[in-house]
Amino acid sequence: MENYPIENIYQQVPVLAIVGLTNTLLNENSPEPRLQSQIIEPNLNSPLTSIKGQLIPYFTEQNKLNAWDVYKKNVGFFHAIFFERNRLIRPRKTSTDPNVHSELSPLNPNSPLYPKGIMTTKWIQKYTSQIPCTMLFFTDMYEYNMNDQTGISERDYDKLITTEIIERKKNCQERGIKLIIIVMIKYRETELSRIDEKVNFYRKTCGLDAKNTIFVLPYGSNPIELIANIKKTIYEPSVNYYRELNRRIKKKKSKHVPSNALFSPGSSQPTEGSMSISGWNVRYDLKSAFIAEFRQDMDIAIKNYENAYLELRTMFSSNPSNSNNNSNKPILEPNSKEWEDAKALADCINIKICQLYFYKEQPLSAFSQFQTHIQKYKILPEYINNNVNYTTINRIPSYAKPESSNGTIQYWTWLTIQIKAFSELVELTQHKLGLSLPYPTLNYKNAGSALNTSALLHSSSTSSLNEYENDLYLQKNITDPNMFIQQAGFYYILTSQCVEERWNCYKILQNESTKRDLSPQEKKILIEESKVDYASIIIDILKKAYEQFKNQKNGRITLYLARNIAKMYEEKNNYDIALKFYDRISKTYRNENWNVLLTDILKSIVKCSKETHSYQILIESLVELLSGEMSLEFSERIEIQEELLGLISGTIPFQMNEDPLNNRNIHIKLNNINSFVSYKIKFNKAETLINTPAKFQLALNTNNIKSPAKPLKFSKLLINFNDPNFNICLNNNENDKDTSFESVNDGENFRRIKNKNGLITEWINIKDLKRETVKTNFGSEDFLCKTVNLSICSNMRKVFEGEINTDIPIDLKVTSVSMIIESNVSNLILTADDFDQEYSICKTRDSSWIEVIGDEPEKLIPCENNKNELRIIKQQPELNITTKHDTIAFIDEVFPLELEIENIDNENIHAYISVMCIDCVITDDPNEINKPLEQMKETLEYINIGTIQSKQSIKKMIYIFNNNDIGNKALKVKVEYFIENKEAKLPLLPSPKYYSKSYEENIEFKIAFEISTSIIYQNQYQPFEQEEQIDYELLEGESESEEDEELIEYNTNKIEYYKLEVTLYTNNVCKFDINSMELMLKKPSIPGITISYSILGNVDFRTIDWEMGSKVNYFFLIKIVSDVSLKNSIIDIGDLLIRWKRHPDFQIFDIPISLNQSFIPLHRIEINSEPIKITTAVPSNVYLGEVFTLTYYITNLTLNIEELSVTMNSQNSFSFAGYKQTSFDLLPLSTHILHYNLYPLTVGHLKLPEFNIQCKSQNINPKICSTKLVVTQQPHPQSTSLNSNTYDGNITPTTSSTYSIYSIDKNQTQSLYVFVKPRVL
Amino acid sequence: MSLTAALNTLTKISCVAIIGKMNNPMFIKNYSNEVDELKFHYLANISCDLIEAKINQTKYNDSYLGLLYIMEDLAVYGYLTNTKMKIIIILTISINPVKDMEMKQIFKKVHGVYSNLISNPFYDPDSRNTITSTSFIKGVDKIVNTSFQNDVSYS
Repeated sequence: MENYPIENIYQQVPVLAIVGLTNTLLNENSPEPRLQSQIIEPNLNSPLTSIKGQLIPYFTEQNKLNAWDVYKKNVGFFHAIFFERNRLIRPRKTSTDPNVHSELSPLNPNSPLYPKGIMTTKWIQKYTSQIPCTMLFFTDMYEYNMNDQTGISERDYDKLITTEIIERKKNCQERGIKLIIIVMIKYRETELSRIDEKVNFYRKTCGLDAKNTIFVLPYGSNPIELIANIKKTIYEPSVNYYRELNRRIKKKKSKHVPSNALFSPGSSQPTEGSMSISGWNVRYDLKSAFIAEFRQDMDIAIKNYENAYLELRTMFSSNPSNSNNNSNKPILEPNSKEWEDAKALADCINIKICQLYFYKEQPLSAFSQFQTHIQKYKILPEYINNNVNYTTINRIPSYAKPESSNGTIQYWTWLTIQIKAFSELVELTQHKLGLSLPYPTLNYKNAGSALNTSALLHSSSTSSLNEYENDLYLQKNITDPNMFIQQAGFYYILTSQCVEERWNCYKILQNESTKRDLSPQEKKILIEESKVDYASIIIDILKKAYEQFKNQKNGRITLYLARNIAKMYEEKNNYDIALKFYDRISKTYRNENWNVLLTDILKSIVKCSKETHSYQILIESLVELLSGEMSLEFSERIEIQEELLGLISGTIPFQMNEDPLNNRNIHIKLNNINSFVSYKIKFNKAETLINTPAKFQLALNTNNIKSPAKPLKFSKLLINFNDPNFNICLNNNENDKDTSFESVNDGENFRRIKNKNGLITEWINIKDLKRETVKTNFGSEDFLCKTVNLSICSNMRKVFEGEINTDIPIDLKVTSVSMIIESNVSNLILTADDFDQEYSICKTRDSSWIEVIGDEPEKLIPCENNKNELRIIKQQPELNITTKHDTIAFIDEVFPLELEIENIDNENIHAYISVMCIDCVITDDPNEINKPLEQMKETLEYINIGTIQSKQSIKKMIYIFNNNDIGNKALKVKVEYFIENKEAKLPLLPSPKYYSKSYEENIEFKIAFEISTSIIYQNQYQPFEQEEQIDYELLEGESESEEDEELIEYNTNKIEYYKLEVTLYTNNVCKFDINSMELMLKKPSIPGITISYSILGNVDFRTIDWEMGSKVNYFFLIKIVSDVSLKNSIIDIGDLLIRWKRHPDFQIFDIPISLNQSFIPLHRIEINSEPIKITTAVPSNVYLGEVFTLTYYITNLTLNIEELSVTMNSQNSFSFAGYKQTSFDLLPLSTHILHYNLYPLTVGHLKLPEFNIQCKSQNINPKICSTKLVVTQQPHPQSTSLNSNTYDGNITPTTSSTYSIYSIDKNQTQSLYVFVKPRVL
Repeated sequence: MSLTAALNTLTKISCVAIIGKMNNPMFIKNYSNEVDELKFHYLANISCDLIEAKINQTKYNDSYLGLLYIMEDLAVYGYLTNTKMKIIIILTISINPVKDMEMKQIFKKVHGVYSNLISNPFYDPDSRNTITSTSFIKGVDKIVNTSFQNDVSYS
């Protein structure tokens, strides 16, 4: 749009004049009218200066915006012009003479338009820079300044202000311009009323309107906010100025243009040489349009512009024969100044109309206007080129296509400007108005979607595009390519094509200049055009398009543009930059398989690299162009191949840019480009043994029938393995001159088959390789070499079959394959190294294995799974592992086990064993087995068992010990070994270099004998240790004591006896010898408690023959002495220890073990659990009809006095004498004895009278235990000598006065029973 | 109506292109005598961008994407299958615009021919090779040759 005056295409906004913010004065020579009144010198020290300092940048910033920036928020948006302090607005025409015209009128001879000019930008400039619609006059209010006595008085000051206001008001009123006064004050609270007074004074004195004419801007407030508000308030009244102006213009128009010019031609015919009626029409329509634009009335503006546009168009088409024009001359003479001016004006009006349509969100109307403009004006004579030599090179849309075979240079120049301007408008619409393009989009409403179309079309849901346009589209359900607005980028592309056309026309003209004499005008054009840098212009435009698409993230279009830009750089001989562009583009096209496009780019790269002497790039591109994927003709392929080989061999000279020494070897990685040959490596098996051959095949496939166009001969083929010792170098057999590629069968060396489709399959044996030193460009290296035929042609599969046979275990892999074309000048090395990636297109060909055996015809074996990996491993010498042991192992037993490792192989081996048994500890040292458990390990690791001779075996004893749980435990044996003398230096174990063999077996663990124990409390009626008293004096017959109470003093040590019953079940698998059984008492953790024990009866376990499956009981008496103050203590007694071993008849190995020890944990005992203990003494023999004494011993085991009450209930079986009910206080640690004489009334097992005791203080109800302890009653250890009431298994009581002792047991509540016998006489 | 003007009113399919889901070209055939094939490759390549932009822009529930863009006098229409295959049809712009429904039908036919192709168990739709099936090419040729017949009779 920069080709047109900015005034003509800038979208107008109301103009505001600002006076009083700056202090500059009019230039001496300025023609502008000056203020007559005296100007008040501003006080620069006043703080109000800072307000001005804020406001000036505000207005300047606002001026940088335009109508599109404040789209839909334009109320209050003005363009500000700063007036000099003493400047007035230019008054209207001073003269009243109708023949005196304004200096911009075509009628005024001094006017630039004289005589036929339609419109000048000066007229618009007048309204943008000289005549505002409103003037803002900023003035300071009088300020008292105590320090400044030289200043004028307030009265004088106000007078000056009012004088100026009056003069300005008069000046504005003359043109109907609104004057707004803004009084800036330094605000003080006390001055509030004074300010009001002063403002009123100004208003009155100057005769200002009451409303919106005078504003106060106090210091300290936000001036910008205030000004913005003022602007909004005065906006509507301000733009009225333009409405008024429009009326004046219409009035003037009627003067110059008859109301019906068509039918009354004679009324005011323009005189010869003056402007036509059409001209005047255009002039006033344009004026009206501009003024409508100033007041933001876009509909009127468009209407007026369109009128002007149509009228102007008729001026071009009118000719002398036009009936409307009586004169002999056309309205506009072609190629005259008026003609050119009118063309420019038409272009500007077109841009204006498009712009306003876009602004009104009617993009299709804009596009339609644009197309109409192009179509209407392309037929101008200067744009038509009938010379048949001129043809277009691009496909231009029909609306822009030249009328004839091609347009003239002027046409393309003009079209470029038009389309570029339109592109810029579209770009602005996209970015500033937020229109989403392309428009219109597909009508999804009809396609089944309920989406609102207008919402789809526009990014902002609140704004909707012109309904008319929308409806039109919806009705038709057609996306008309002729009415389809796209992103600005596409129009920029079109612009660039127009420049290309212009360039093309220039080239043709230049060409013609050599053949014929050009007309003077053509010569002039040729000279002018020769100065134009077309390529740069195109690049600039394409870059604009590029930016557009880049912002939209349309990467592929940018590639297309980059390619076009590169082409232009090429045209400019700027090959380096072009090459950079092409390099970038080629990557994407290659990745996405756009081979046709890639071919196009590669060809350009070849061209540019030649120009820039980039040898490497050139060769690389040529190699890629060899690929059958590239879209090339056969002849082109031949050319490329010959060029490549010529460059390599040096027959085509090439001046290298790079250092030739470094570029002798051109390395090309085929994985990165489209290769003309694909590689496939496969081994026939994944794993093999050392010294066992494994085959591999390397297949080279030329991808298709097109490439290479001619057979290609390689000098060398290198197959590189991950171990360089296996690297293979195949040299070409230079003597082999056969180029016919006919079928050949050379047995096991060479085969060539040609099938009916023309596919040539070659099979070459490379098993017989010789180690040689090959001089390569990287230095000398050792290779396995062979000379074979290394020619390839199109549609060929060349298979090399080799063999790997080694005595070293290794994981072998082909890392790369290089094909080398050598020459004296340079070497081309084509390397493929990524064999895992499938980049071949001939999958089926590659996946089969060609099997050639002897002279038999070859077979194709499909082998999909074969990979480029071969694992070579050693053969493992055979080894047997056996074990020997007892069938069952026992817990707590040292279990011997014999491992036998037998070497079956013919070689001597050296072995290490590792053994473990789950949950067990293990040792191989017989000395360790009698030691504590902690010294044994969980695993035995890498025990060197030395050399095992061939066919020999070695035995090894190991000992397993399990003290945990029974069941099957896995024994794991691992033997790691190597062949002696062969592998001299092996790393330390563990290492995968060793052979290994594992063995696993389950060993069943059982318990040797089952032990059950129970602990029973042994009752005593007298629980306290007494020095002298004999506990059993009761037995002596003290029963007749008449004392109700007996109080005895005791110490607080209490003795309790417990009987431990041990039941031992021997198993029925193995016989044992038990050496001893003892209690391993623990020292109680609580002080004050002592534990001791004795076994009941004298047993010598060693003499006992422990039969299998028997059950034996043993008893221990445990004595616990404790202090009664210890409440409810639970004590751990300890373990029962049994020393035992297998009976010699039941073990395989006689091991030097002393004895096995089994520890059986014992129950815990709770002591002092009862606060009140009651025991009962009943004679052993009770006879019918004989009185017996029942004695209750009630002991207080607490350290408190207990109040007890006792009741004895009568019963049928007995009659009794004694307290039926009594209560007493029982002192701490004392015993109360109650005697009852009972007379049995019947015989049998009778329940004793119920005895209840109630403890008041502790609220417990102790009961007498029902357990009859006669059988289990044990003597006091101290009283064993008495032997009076000792019961042993074999001993019967000797006295008749035996007593049964009952004790309470808190868990038992049954009554006591006694057996009353009849006295047998 | 002059012959050129009459010819201008004819709608012609200039190119049919199938683009794989990795944006790789699978089939591009030039049906125009006037336009260089390379141009269609570029146009097809560019369409990938516009299709992506279009499907990202709004939620489309239809395979037919309508007119994608215009370059020179060629209008590029797009269609996206459920398997993300892109079908591109390029028309030389004529005076008579084509109805969207009509375009959609043509796309559906091409899609049908493509569906027949991938129904062949020996055809690998994921391979990045170009389509060489003769039945497919014949099918597309037939669609191109029979499309807009009404226009011809009308003109």
